[in-house]
Amino acid sequence: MTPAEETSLIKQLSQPALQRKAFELVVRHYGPPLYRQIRRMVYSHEDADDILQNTFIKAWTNLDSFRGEARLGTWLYRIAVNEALNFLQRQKNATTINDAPAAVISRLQADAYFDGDEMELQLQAAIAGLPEKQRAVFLLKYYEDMKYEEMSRVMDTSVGALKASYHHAVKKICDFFKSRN
Amino acid sequence: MKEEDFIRKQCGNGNPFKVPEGYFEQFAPRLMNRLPEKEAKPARQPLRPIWQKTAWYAAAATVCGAMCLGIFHLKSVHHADRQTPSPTAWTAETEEPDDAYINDALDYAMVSNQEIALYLTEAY
Repeated sequence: MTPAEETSLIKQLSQPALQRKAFELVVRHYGPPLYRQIRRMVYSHEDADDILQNTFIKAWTNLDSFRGEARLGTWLYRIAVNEALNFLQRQKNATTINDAPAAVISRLQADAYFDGDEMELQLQAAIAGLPEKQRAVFLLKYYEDMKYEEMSRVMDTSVGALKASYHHAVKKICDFFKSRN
Repeated sequence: MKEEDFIRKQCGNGNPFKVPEGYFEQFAPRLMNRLPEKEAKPARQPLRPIWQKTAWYAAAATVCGAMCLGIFHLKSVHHADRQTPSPTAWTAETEEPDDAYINDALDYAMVSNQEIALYLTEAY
């Protein structure tokens, strides 16, 4: 989406007669990248689907609070990452799902919608071992190649702290691979 | 970053997570059906200046104040008359000044008789 298209879309979102149609365009455009980010954080398709729906419903109900100060995508990523982090926190409190590497490997092996090789499985297991926020930072940088400045707005964290967080995450994942070989 | 290159060489950065067929095509209409209707914002009433809201209370308070003053003045005059009885006490003429005092009090309050009458009949 070009900046001009985004500006026009934001304008339509502020007009009651056009906002529903414009929001559908937003869902179609941002749905796939937001899903990818959420799915990599929570692994299961069903959970990712629920969180994605909640993300867009929250965006819809809070549309009036979006004043166009940040990019639309940044705002949506922020809602999505927060929703996913809240979900992981609730899951952790309920202790129903084990995020230990071995447990993640067996979950992904049984997942019909996971199509990765052995190295991919190992990488997901290593990522699962990271603290939730560090995991989100690693995924945004490594897979989405998000700039630190934008990530700072998504995560509400300073650029310096994000760089340090990413560096630690990469190091932990390398150590994980080295310990396995 | 050396470590990052190491991970990319080992695993790449592909997407091993798949979705059911047609998931994204169906997602948008499914979500749009779930979205709540936005409540129409009520048209904002223009705010009335505060003096408009309080003008009637002020007018009523002024009238009441004027009447109280008048009654108080009347009573004090009446009381003084009783304490110093004159040979011509309690004739029709001695009661005449009472109305004059009320009129004077109302003059000081700057409220006309017509305004009071209108106010009392609530036609104002």
